[in-house]
Amino acid sequence: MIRMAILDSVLRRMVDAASLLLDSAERDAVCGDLTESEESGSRALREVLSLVVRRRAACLRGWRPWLTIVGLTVPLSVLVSLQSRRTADGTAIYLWLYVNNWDWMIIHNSGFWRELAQCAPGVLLSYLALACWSWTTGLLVGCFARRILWFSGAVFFVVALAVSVFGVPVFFDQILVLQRARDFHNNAAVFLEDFYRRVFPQCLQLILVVLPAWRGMLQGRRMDRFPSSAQVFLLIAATAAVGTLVSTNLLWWQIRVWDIWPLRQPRLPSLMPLAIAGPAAYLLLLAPLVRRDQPSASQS
Amino acid sequence: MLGEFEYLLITAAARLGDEAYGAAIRREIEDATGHRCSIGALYTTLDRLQTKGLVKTWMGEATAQRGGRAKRMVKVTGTGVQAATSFYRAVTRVSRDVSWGTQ
Repeated sequence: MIRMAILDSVLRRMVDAASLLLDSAERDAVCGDLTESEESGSRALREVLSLVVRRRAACLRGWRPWLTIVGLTVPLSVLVSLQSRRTADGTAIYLWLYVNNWDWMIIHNSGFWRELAQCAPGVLLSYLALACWSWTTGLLVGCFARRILWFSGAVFFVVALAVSVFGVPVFFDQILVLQRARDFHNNAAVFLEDFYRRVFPQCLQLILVVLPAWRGMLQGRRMDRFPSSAQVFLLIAATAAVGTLVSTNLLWWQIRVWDIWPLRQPRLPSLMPLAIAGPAAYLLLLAPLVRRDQPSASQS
Repeated sequence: MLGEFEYLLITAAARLGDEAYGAAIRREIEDATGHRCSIGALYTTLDRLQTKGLVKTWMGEATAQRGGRAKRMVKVTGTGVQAATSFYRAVTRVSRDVSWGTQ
């Protein structure tokens, strides 16, 4: 009897949690109906979940949500995941050099510090650029797939994970640059380590792709708090940032502009100003909103 | 032309009059059909009917019986009455000379 009561209480908490996925007015009406009907916890949970599923599925009716997913979410996810893999492999060599071959003697070597000073900014810049690109792609997904963010976000992360684990189809292999540091024989020692081959790319993807992209999606969903002109400015900045992400991954583009003045091979750090354009524009536009909200908060 | 469940919902709401809201309509439908009526089906159909202009809904008062939660009140519009009448006539016409009850 006590066990049943505990189970029912747990189920009711789950009902409350599931009902948060409904609009506030509908949540009130549905939870009130369930209380009035004295439904059991399991029945109430089934009822609420059935409504949540129907509401979510209704957003996917028509061609527009699918066009957004196929035309925006999937390509951005593939691009940012490829960039993450390339960044992970490229920087793994430096990490291996300095972490796996470290000892107390080496810190007394001036060459060690000189080399470290030369490569550390490049590694940090590539991490910063990846985080900015991820945030920007998340912002665009959140902005254009506002009503289906739950689904579009899930597709984004599943595709990113799939690309990270399995790679991309052969067709894309010919268009996109997939050469990575691990493809070169000289780096074999690094990628013999299971950590650098499997674990490190996933860790980097979690920290520099999943978290910033998720944040960007949530902020993109609330783009309508900015005036229209600010939204256009932000979208232009985000598009420019994504343009640099595309250009760093397109093989034909890289070959075409290879050392041809004024088009140089697009790569970091010269791409940095454009890579950070999305977050920079967002912070720039957010500042007046924060300043406007602060006095009203202090008054209240 | 209304769907079968849409007709049930409109008829239940019309019968309840001023007392038509989610839980009451659900009880009416369950009593009439002898089957469970899911809240998901009820509220999504209600939205569809409202979009078609066949019913009007608004949030009513909260009661202690409902744990202080508000009701979603329902009123059948003139167009809704016409649609239900048309459906009823069609069912009556098509059922003429067919004695389901005796089989």
